[in-house]
Amino acid sequence: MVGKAIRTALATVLVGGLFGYLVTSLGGPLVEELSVFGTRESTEARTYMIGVLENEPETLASLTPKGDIVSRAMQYLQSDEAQGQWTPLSLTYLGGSAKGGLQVHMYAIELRSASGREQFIPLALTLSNGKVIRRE
Amino acid sequence: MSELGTAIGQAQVAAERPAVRLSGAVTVLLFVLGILAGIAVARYASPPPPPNPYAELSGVGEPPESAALVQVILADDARTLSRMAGSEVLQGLGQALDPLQEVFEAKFVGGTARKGDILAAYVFTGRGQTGQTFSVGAVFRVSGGKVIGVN
Repeated sequence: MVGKAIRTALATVLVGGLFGYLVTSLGGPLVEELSVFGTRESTEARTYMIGVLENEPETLASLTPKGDIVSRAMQYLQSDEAQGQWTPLSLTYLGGSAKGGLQVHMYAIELRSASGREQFIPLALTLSNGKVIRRE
Repeated sequence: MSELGTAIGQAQVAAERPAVRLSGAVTVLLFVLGILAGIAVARYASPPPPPNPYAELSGVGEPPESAALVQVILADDARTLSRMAGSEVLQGLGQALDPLQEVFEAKFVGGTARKGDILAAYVFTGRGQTGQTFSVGAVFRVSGGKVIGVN
């Protein structure tokens, strides 16, 4: 009798848990796709941008589709050359959209070069399956 | 006779397996607990973006200069676009809109400003060469009352 009551209680919690998980994980992206409350900034896009500003080639490599050895070597070379060339001042998320598995996220960054010159640059990222497939 | 037998059988089953019913309030409470646990698991599975370690500029509304240009793009009016934008802006726009051949939707998603320079971000949706629908992001740089660049 007690065993059955526990089983019934566990089943109720399990059904509730499944319902909560599905509503959160499926409902969130659906609401974003319909642009009801605007698009939430993606974790991968923010991590990628911090990787760009902190000059972290490993982070950038983990968030881009695996390319050929030459392009990967080029990325490391560019990163080495950029070391100490500029200091990031600000990172601002402008907005984005999510449609059909593709996400677009746009940022504005402020940089100061070693010579003291300041730059105000936009960057648009296109993501597919959590990977940055285009950087404009 | 057979009805009597069925009734006796049912009574035996009821005696062997007493019905276990949770009260309505307990069931609702357990279900709500389950929902909260499910939401927690889903949040853990997709964590929020890491904190921004840098300063963040405040947002601005859509500048009328970029809005006018976007209207011309949506109207597919190449003649007017050529009059409104210089070759550098057109080149940047072409790269930003690639691979779209036809734009049927444009949405301003946000903007920011610094020392008179405004960056206005748009998402353009349209058709590519193969007929597939794509969305691309383009950021217009507005300064001195006109669009001076597109990324």
